[in-house]
Amino acid sequence: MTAPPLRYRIGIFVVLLVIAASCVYPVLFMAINAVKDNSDYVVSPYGLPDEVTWSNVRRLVDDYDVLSALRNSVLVSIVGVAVSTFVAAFAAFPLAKIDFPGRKLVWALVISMVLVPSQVLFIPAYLMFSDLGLINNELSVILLYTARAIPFGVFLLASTFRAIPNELLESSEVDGSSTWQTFRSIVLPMGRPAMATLSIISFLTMWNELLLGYLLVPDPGKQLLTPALALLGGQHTTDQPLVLAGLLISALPPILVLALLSRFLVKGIAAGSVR
Amino acid sequence: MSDTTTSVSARRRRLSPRAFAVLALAPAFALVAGMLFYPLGYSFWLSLTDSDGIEASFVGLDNYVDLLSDETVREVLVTNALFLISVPLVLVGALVTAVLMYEEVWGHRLFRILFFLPSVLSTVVIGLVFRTFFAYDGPVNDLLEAIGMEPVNWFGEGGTAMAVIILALVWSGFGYGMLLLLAAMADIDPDLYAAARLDGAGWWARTWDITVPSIRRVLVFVSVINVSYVFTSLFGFIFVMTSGGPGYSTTTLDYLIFVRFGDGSLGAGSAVAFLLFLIVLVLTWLQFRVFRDEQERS
Repeated sequence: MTAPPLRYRIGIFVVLLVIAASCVYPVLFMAINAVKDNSDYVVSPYGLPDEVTWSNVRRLVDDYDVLSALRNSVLVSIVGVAVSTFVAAFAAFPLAKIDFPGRKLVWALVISMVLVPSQVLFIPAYLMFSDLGLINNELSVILLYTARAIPFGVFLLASTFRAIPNELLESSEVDGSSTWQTFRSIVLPMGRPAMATLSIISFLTMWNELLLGYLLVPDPGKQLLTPALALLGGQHTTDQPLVLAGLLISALPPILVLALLSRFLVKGIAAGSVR
Repeated sequence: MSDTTTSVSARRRRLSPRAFAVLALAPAFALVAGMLFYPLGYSFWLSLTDSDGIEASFVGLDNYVDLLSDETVREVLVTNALFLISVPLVLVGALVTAVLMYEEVWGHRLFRILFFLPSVLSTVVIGLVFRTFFAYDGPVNDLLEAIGMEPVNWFGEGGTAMAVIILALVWSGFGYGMLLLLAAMADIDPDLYAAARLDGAGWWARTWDITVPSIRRVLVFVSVINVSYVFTSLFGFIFVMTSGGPGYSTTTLDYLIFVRFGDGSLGAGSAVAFLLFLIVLVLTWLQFRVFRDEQERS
């Protein structure tokens, strides 16, 4: 498409700049006020801090055990991402490339679960994990997060695997490779970019999840970061810098992922997940 | 295993593709069955009981009958419907940004990342930052007072509280819609534009007559997923911003399940949950229908 006239381009740039500023400002506001003390914030919520203070972060660590919440969230999301991505890859390959009886049914059953909201699952999940004695055990959230990531993962990876030419797989079998070897040496390497995209999407979902984490691991020390901050925000309506410092800690990993891996995330979402 | 022995023993050990398929599917199927199918079935059974989590007796469809006559449920459904206002807003926001981004002006790669920034943040982060912004002594009211208007008690009544939640939803969701639309625009045949230019069509005409019609189906897709977000993504915002109040004025279907659970009415809560599940299932089906049409077309 040819470029519109320069004055249009300048106008477009300015509009986009304003929209971008509105996307960035709340994050900037959070970052700037996270390092103010409360009296500084009350006097000037918009200016730069008089003095950069880490007292909010220190209080979060000392009084609110944010470090252990951070540790729990890191553990849960890393295990959940790794397991769900590989389990989804294993399931996506036969669904994409192997003819077996009942394939369509299995596909339909798995895909119908893509959008099951946590709000529908939490009551039975709570009762189920109570019976198993797994309330306040990270295993409960790991299992649920992993299972919830699988349907979309299967969908995304199967559409990637389907694009692998059959001749490539057949020639590998003719060369004497087993299905497993073909999967490991051809399918998995070719699926790597899609698996990276999937890992990032799953990480963001798990890291940001509120309801299941809030109900299944409620005890301080066991809590995950996002639910812990939701509770902190509920308790402190007058000490904004403390809450904002906590939010900043929980927002940093997603922001870093976006900054460093946007290649996989932005392109992957556009190219892989929908078309 | 050494090469000399391969042919016989390896072939014997080798799985048939079908056996491999079964083994490869087993972990995914076990997790989905145990963590999704079973709880959903359990949820349906609970919805037929008056369970409080400890004791349950079978009441048939009573909970569903109660749903129909429950004033609160009716109010909540209306609230949910009102939240659908966010769908056209997200659509317009995503479309306008995508159309402008399509011109690839300076910095468009950076813009694309920045527009997606709200989408990677949790509803808790976004909700609490918005709560701070719209607090009575917060930045938005400061701004209103600076231009000579009265401050607004945003969370003091349902209408304004909903407006703030809708704004949060639109802010957090337009970037994803924009990415999808932009990806669809990348597929538009450049010859169409060349022809339009020969006909003397200006930028506006080309945008409205070529760009927008070409991405019609993705626009439908973005609408459908945003309708489903209204039923599934509001919980976090409501939890941290209004707790469903004042009264039930910002309680949506998904938040109501949480409220019922808190009251110990697990049977009634599960009936609402199952209703929500059915709504989402229909939306998922629609979404894949649109998606499949889109694939078949290309």
